Amino acid sequence: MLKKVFLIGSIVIMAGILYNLPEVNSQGLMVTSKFIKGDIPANPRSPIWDKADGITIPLSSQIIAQPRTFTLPKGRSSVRGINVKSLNNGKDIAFLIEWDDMTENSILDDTAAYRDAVALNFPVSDSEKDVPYFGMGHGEKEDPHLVNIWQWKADLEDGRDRVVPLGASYPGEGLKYSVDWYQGQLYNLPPKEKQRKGPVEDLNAVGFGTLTLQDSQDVMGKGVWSGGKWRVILYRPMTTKDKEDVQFKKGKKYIAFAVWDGANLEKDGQKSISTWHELTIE
Amino acid sequence: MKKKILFLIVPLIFSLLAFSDASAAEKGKQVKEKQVRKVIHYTPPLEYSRLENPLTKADPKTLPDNDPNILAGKRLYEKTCANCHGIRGDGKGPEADGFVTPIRPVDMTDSEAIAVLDQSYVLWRIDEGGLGEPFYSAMPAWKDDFTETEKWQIILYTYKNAGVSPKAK
Repeated sequence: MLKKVFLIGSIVIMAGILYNLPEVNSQGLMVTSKFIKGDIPANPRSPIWDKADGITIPLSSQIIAQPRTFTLPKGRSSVRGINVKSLNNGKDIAFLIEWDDMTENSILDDTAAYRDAVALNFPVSDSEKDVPYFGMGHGEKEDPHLVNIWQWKADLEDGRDRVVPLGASYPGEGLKYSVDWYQGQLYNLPPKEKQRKGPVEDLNAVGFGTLTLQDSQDVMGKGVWSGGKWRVILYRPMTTKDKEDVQFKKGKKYIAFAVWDGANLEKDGQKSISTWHELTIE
Repeated sequence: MKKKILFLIVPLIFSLLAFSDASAAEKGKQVKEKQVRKVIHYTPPLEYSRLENPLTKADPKTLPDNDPNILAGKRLYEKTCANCHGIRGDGKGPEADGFVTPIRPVDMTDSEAIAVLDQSYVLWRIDEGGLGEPFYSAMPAWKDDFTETEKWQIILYTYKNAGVSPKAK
């Protein structure tokens, strides 16, 4: 009898331990989105950003999916960490990402480098039991663990976004640049429905190699480079009508990051990444 | 009778403690206080659990430094695994810092890590990596990157380097 009781007790303990196995937030850092009254700053240099506490998030080379970063000129990705701040006013939410980068790679014409870029990654679902893989989500059609990715691209800054049609990855690949850099003149604009609103793409993924541009582009942003540092903001209304968008409200979510150093020939899967961290929205 | 009650209550208390950890995860601010998970072990598929290291039956910890398999394993380990797991196998490689959730790269020298596993389990983890239940970690799947011999050599060196013996079959 005693043996039976002990056996049942042990099974219950093991079930409890196994139940806890996929826990995500065991060691992550915490990004806090500070509530402020008034407008969210649309400028990365705004002093309003001083109201938010920053946190340094360490990044590592993306070595999980092919192509891994071992083949890059440095043998790894460049950026080892970013500083993250977030503000919200209950209506809009914004993130300021800052990182060291000695070379500004924002104009791709006739250069032997790719663009600099940064991306934020969020689980679309709020369910604790449905947390996607930090590496761009996971799952099948029947059981997708979707992530919403906001990707800012340096080559879409300063109005260049207007000449690169939505869906075109690199303007140099099969597309003619339609900007007169000296006159600042734009011509041969894409059709209106293919025009971008800014330098940020609103995307979804359910695993490596599944990145998809959303029909509804809701995320705005602005990046400035000076003194060997990128300062990039990405912002959006906290809630949207799009089911494939992450929705924000007071409470807790997850967030992960990716950065590309164009000078190190980083593009697509060759980048610096983080795993999930906690995002607390005040 | 008292002993019977004790045997009934003690496991129940432990089980409640185990489950209460999950409810704590719901409380966002408690992240720092939570116990850090260092390893996740699971049941390997049958096709792996049957396997034995074909290169040697010896305990890798006892193999000499100049053993050809150890030398080959060292070269491969230092080129790839050491990026996260560290040259010494302590989980402190140069790529480890960004990969913190759900677990950090495993410290091979930890008495709860590969020391409690047999070599076939380690082969399974090398092959499949962390993208799957219940791991969801940053461990890459190396299945197509090494030959079977190379994988077993890496496993031998990993144990020797960490100074631990595999669990006997």
